[in-house]
Amino acid sequence: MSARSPTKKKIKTVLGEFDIASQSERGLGIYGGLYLTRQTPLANGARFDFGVNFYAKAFRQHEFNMKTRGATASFNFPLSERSNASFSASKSRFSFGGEPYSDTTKLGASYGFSTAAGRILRFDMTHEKQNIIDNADQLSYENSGSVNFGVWRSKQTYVSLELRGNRRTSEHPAFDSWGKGASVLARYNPKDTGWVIEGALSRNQKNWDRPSGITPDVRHDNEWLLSMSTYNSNFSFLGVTPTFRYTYQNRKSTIPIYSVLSHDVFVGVTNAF
Amino acid sequence: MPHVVRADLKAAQTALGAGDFVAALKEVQPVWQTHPLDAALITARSTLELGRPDLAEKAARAALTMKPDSYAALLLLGSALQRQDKVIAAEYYFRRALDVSEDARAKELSRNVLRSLQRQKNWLVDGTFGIVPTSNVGKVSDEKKNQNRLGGI
Repeated sequence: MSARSPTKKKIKTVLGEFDIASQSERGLGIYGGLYLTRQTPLANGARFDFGVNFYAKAFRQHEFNMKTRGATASFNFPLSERSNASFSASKSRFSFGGEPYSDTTKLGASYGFSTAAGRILRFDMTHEKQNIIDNADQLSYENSGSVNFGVWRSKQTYVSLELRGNRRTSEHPAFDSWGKGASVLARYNPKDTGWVIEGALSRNQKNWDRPSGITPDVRHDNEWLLSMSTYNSNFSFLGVTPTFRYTYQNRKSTIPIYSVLSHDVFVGVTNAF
Repeated sequence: MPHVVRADLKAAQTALGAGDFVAALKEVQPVWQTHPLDAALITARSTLELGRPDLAEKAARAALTMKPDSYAALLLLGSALQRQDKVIAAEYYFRRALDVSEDARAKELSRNVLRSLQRQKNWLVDGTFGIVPTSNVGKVSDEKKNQNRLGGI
């Protein structure tokens, strides 16, 4: 089900200004994911996990369907009673509209530390190689890092802040970019209600080094992202409870076709534990 | 002689509370005649603690036939199955225990055993399913197509 309402956007190219039709649509799709993980406990509390995953969204108009399948291996080990570290490697393929779009290989390392009060400090670093599967076979690399730290914890509330940064380079220098972002994440569990409310507000910025060669302008994106989810763990059937998630995305780009304003709602089920 | 039976039940419960599981099993014998549900639960708990999960499973199943939505029976049956490495069956009963648990403490206990069981399993299967109403199903297609066309990442 969908209602098409095409909108026109102007784009300035090195060959002049053109109108580009952008399809802004309301639609109803279904999604499903399956994650299978083999857990192998090792000596001294360490663990090796290997998993395969599949995730798909399907709409009535098949050109919007998307599918991800991949495999992940991770090695987690405690460093002390309150700290741990992990290394991971993953490979995934993203398909769009029934056709392969990209192959991504990712290597990651993380370190986590929990204070006596239960607040968590976490560092993550990843190196990613992405191949856009098209005639040009664009290959790019991204190094990213993030730090997340708990700033407030009570019986009902947990609030953390996250800072992120990344650098993407490519075989073609026109695609090189810097990205940075910050998020406030919160989890609230009103006393004696069973409700769990989680939210995250993010501000992201991405700046390309130079014009792409097609447009004379350099692309700069500024984005607000808000996501909220809620479920009531007091209501469950075989340990599963309905969940509701809402995502708002507002991205403004110096190149108008990259601007996005969207509202997404996910209604599904999740484990109540 | 109801007061005598109550005394037996109390004695079995006291022994169970004190951690004397052999005494609890001994004291619970006459209770089967008058309070079979309590007797089955005390037997299940005691045999579980004494390292006989097979007997605990039988007693917990007996309790469940008497009261299918008994939180204690579901939790004990799940524990007995878990101790016998029957993790899938154990998870089913732990999940049912979570469904029927009424107070916050019981719910938290159910969640804790379920989380602990997840870590114990060799294979973890997780799934998600739902519907997605969205204001812009075309945004990714536009985005990805334009990335290709214009060279953005």
